[in-house]
Amino acid sequence: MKAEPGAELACRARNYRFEHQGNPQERGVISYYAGQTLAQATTFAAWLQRIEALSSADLQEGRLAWFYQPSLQLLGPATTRLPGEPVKVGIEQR
Amino acid sequence: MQRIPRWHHVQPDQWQVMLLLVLMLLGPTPVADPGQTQRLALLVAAPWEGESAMFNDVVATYHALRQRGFAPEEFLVLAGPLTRSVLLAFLHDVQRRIGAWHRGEVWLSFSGHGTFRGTTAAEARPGLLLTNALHSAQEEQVLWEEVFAALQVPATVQLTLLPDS
Repeated sequence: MKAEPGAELACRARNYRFEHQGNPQERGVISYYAGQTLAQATTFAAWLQRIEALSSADLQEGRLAWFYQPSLQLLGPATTRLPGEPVKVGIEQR
Repeated sequence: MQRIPRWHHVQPDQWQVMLLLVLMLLGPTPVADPGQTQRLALLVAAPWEGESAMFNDVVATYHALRQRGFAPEEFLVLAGPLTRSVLLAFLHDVQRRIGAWHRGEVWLSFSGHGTFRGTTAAEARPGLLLTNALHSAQEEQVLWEEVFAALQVPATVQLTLLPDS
């Protein structure tokens, strides 16, 4: 789409109703998947991989409409460790 | 009553209160500790009228970072109907906190809406759109380049940006 000269394009973030503790909850799509996968991720590349895997699983199981699936890109070194320490799988809290 | 956004140091039991009331909690600026990595998590929610998703995003990100070991006093939260001046004031406050850091980590997540200035992809300048007004004014936009200019994260400090806009 080409905007008229001087015009601005608004980019409305995609929100979606995800299940949260048994109830629907409005979330930003990117924030939802980023938050769900952040605790266990080690590096930025691993984080992105988890985001893609989880959103793909939700898509396949009908929990997410295809046009909501995020397509994300890392800017910066992918192997850099995320801030903080990753949670071990066995003790992750949801 | 006009709602005025403020930024907070977050305590674990404050979330419910924070989402309902406007409070200003002036916590101590994180103190330099040469033996420990300094870090600060900035959680910004800029909902348009009637939206709840951005508040929920902030809460979820807070809990995820807490799981990774962030302490409550390492968070600053700005949530509510924002203006350009409020957001930039928040970022300038952050800059005063981190400006002297020799190393450390800054996390910035933004949950809201975006905009572009420019007429072609090559010259597009992305930014944040703080209102759903059809023709928004300058006071309702902040370009990402202005965000980075306000923060002035030292070169030795790692910035992690999660833009959901």
